[in-house]
Amino acid sequence: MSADAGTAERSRVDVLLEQMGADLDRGLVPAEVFNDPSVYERELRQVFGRCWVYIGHESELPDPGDYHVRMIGEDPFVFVRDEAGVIRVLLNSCRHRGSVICRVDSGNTSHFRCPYHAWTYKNDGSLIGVPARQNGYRALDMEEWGLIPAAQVDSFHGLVFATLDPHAPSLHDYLGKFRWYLEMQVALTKGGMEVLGEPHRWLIDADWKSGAENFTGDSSHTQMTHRSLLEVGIADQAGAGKTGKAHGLHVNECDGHAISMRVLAEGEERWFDYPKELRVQFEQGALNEAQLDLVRRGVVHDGTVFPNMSFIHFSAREDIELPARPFLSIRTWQPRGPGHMEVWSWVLAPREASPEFKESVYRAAMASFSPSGAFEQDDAIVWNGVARTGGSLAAELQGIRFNYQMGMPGMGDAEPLADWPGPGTAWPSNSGESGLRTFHRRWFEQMTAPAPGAASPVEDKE
Amino acid sequence: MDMSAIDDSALADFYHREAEYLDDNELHNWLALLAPDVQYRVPVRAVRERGVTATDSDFTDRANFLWENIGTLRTRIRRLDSEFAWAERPPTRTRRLVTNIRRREPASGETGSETGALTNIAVYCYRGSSPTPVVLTGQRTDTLRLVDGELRLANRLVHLDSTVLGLHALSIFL
Ligand code: FES
Ligand SMILES: [Fe+2]
Repeated sequence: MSADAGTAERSRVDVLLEQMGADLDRGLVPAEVFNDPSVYERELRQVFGRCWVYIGHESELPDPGDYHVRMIGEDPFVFVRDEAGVIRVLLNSCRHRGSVICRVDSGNTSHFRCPYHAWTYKNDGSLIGVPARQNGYRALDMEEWGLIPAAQVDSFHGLVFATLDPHAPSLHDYLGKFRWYLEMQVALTKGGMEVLGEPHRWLIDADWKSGAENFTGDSSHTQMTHRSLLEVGIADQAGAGKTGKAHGLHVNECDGHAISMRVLAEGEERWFDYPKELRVQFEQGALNEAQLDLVRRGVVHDGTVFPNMSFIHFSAREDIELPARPFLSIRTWQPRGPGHMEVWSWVLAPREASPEFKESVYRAAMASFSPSGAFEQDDAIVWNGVARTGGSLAAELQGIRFNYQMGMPGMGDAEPLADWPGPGTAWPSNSGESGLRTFHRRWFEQMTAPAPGAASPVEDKE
Repeated sequence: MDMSAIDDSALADFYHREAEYLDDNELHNWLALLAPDVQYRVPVRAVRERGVTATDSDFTDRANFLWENIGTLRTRIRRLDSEFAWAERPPTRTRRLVTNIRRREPASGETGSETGALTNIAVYCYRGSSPTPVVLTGQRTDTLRLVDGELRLANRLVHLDSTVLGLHALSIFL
């Protein structure tokens, strides 16, 4: 990588994208996209500035005035329920001259008052107080100077997303075919899911894409990366063992999103180890029979909503003397500079479940997917290595490309299912990296998408 | 207050020995210092708008980095024994500084056999070839119990000072 930032590096991203465009069909991705300043800068704009990004869950804001500070790319937004009950996503920045209005992580307030010159906003973002207005700001149009909302905010079964792009498609269309798979995670019961407690947040010296791509269906890493769990019995073979046609299903090409499922054979039941009381409720919930079947046989479902929101529905033992317990974890892989991310991770349980059950869900999730989680501890280590290679001089000088060819035509022994009942392309084997290829194709398209009403950045170069 | 059974030097000895076991990665010896009914919790800190003292207001009992009992701690340590527990292969090099030991009444009121104690900790963590440690600091609120003449940890609550963990994996004990 060139030492002088600026123009030399700015062009590096174009070189890499050009290379990637030529290589993607062969399942190859340039290593440098995992750690390069010019790639990072471009993706903040093209990916995080334009996609729908996960903000939080409605259950995190039970009362009017409840708020949390959340991120879109590297920009902080206030995720707040206003007095009328409407959920808002407002830039955490005073309209007067930009001081931060909300300097804590969470709270409840009817008003936000800027600590600089005391401009005051209602929790719906409208400006209602400017000191010395009569003497100094008589003609200020208060309506024009409210807090800046994200361009669009919408929700799907309690999951709140926002985008900074007013031209972005609706959330419904953005999630597209993947809604069918998301419903299996968050619409199991009539009441939907509820977030338990505050998120885990931690830093990893790895690119955000390493987490995002992994959750689309990196089924072949579990046996090696998570081998200690199999040895000790925290997870079983069905959940994290060998890949192949026995349990594995990969579904991708779902409008840029992808999911991996390990399910038992037809007719068998696992329900992610949810107890009987809840299984009954799942059967009376909103899922259709094909969806319900994948939950009934479900051992693990994990997926990624492009760009950086992933989930895992699974079960694990926090004490090997006791049975495995189910959990749902939702996480975002937040960019924090080239080769760095901050992970935010939430635990969810069906709203109808008992407090004791919710506690067991929390503990099972924390023990497996959190900074102290038996699974996640070891993921962080391997992802660090990817960023390290991506940022190496060798990656550039030797043109290093990463290999995502597993399961491609001529490589794998599986063909997409012709009679799959759900949307997208389904592979009856998890010995493949088709989900990861979906992710990188979607990323490439987003990185090279023309700005609304402008030429594409790649063409710009020529 | 009758705490003659547990004197100050016994308390200090306990903390020094515990830190030694953890720094030396003798996790099974550390386990032996815990009471069978031990409760061990490291809650998540989130900075909140309202609150008189920072410590009281930032933590809830609903979100934790660690929320353990003897069975879950045994399971964690069993896993760390595996040569495939990559987060600790090679092990994090740690140095624990345990200071500001303050004695408190035990929550149980069993002053004859138990004592409460507050300690400050700084855990320096070195990984890979980086000369810069990640430092975790916090306050521990403990209950120690005298069992057959030996002190055992019966309860621990660790209030960390950071909200976002700077460590890519919390594969150590505090
Ligand atoms: S910057 Fe907020 S009131 Fe001036
Ligand atoms: Fe993993």
